[in-house]
Amino acid sequence: MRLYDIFLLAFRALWTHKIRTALLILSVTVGVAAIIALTSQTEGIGRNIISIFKSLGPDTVIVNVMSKRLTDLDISIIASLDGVRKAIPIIREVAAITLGDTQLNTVVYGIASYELNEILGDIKLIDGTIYQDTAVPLAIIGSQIAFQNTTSQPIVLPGQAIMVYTRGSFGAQAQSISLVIVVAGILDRYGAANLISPDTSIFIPLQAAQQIFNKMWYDMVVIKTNNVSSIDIVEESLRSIYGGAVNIISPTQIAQTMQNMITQTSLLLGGIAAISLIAAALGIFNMMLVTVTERTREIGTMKALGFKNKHILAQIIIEGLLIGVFGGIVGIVLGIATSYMLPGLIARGTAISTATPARSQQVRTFNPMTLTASISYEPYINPVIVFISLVLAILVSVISSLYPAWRAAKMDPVKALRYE
Amino acid sequence: MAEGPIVKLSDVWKVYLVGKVEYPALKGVSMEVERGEFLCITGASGSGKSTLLNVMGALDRPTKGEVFFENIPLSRLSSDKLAELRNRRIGFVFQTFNLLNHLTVVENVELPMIALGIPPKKRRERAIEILSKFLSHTVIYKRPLELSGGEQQRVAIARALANDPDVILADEPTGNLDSYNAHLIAKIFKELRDEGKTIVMVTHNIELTDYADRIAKLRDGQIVEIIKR
Ligand SMILES: Nc1ncnc2c1ncn2[C@@H]1O[C@H](COP(=O)(O)OP(=O)(O)OP(=O)(O)O)[C@@H](O)[C@H]1O
Ligand SMILES: [Mg+2]
Repeated sequence: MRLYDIFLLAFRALWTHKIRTALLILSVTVGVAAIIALTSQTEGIGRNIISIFKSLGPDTVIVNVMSKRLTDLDISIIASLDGVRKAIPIIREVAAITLGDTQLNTVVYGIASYELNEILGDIKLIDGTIYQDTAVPLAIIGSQIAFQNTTSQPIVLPGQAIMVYTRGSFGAQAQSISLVIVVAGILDRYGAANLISPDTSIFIPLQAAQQIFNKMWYDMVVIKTNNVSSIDIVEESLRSIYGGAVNIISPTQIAQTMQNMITQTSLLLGGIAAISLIAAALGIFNMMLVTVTERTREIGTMKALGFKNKHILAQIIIEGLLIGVFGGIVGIVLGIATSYMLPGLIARGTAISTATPARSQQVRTFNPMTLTASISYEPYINPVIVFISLVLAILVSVISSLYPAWRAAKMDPVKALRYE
Repeated sequence: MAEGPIVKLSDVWKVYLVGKVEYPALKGVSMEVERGEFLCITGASGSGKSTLLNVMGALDRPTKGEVFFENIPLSRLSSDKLAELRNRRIGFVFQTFNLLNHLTVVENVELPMIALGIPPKKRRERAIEILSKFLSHTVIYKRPLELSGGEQQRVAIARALANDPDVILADEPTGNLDSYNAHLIAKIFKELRDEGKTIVMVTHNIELTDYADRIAKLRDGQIVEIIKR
């Protein structure tokens, strides 16, 4: 008997029971689609978050003030630490701006112009220029501030002044400050892919920030280390100096931890989805046994006509294989389609929580996680997982048809022919 | 071609275990089926006709004794070898036709050739050629259940002939047919005999034994009489 013919007979047998076969294929499809759809979400979210952390450069360590005011002395101490290439002092104030009748939350960063590239990467200006490092409050502003959701034309142009309100300086004296800054340049869209969310931020010269906010200390220090391997030493030194008074973030390390977490989450979700394949396996097993029993006479006849036990065995196993292959392929298509539909559904589900009212400015301490919590990510379809799920689908279908196939193969032809 | 009888049974016993009781369906049957003869097997229900036919056709193994197919003792052959023997040398026809209803008529006829590994085009040609001897062309691509009983049994005969076997074993092939069709089938067997095939047919129908060369009477698992005509 030719292999081709075994496939042909298997296919014809499945085709006879179209609904039954379709249900079995569907059960495999659901399992495979679930594996792909779920893992592609975690992988996508993970890659998105990791890219945010990595956008600052792998050699970065960020120091955030908790209860200690970091002064110029601290900056020079930090700069002189082993492994540190440079320490960039930054002043940060949470603020609100009013443009027309809309109020908008923003963060004002005071940072030297020549260090801007260290936190923004490429400085992509769509209009205007970078500010000079003077006490004059010239600013470059994020694209969301300039465009205010209008797509084509910016509402604010270079040379224009905008009003900024803050709750005053870090600490207890919550006096409100309102100040006027003049737009020098407008940044292009950066998307969420940055720890610092440039799109909703305002950058002004460090001196200007010191004057306006009346601050002689810094809220954060971005440290660039000599190389990635120095990160540990630098972090250690910082801890021994400041203890819990500062919050130290190493994007690279976070990215690594995240990567591990995401891999584990993927495995967990994929595993849970894979369990549905066990249900599919039971379905196939049960249905195959029923089918084999129903086909007892047919099997007896085939044996009388000269089909060997191994032919019967192969035919039933290949019936299982075909279910697995079809189920797997349809599952992959469905899984990929679902993968791309899910982010939209998730975003809709969380839309309320991301659209925080403009007036609430409770977020006083810098938290990179909440600042980048806007959920927009591309699902990532891992070809390895697609392959594994296909293999699993086929394996599960073949394994669950082994016993029914064996039952069919070892049937006594005489008894099978007598079977009513 | 080998000399002597095509099938020879020597002291063949078939004992079934019913619960713990041994029930002998065949009790020491010794007989020969001559090459090219038309042999009828008759006997009461339960006398062991089907059992005898299955043992002759290498479908069942005797509990004791030996079956020779062209002097080859079948007990020495593996079940795969027996399958090959059935496939090439023996054709089965059953009372209930046993056509595969999810395949077309022509595909049913192709089945023994599929088992043998004959390529699709060649086997289709041959299947149509055999079918056209017994049936009109219109039935070729129908499903078996769309055919009358007589037509179905002729398809089954065409299928039995697919690999040009030497022996046709038919177990009450007319049992489900009316008198007209019963005679039609018996005539076909007679013609096949004339073309050189060996036919063994189990039947209850005394009229049909007229077509046979010899009639073997079975009672309680034993051959009680062989009538030569
Ligand atoms: N698998 C089995 N287990 C137990 N007894 C069996 C089995 N197969 C057949 N028998 C018994 O063996 C005897 C012979 O059976 P067989 O089918 O050969 O009879 P038969 O002559 O073909 O009868 P019929 O004319 O009704 O077809 C019967 O009594 C039957 O009950
Ligand atoms: Mg019988």
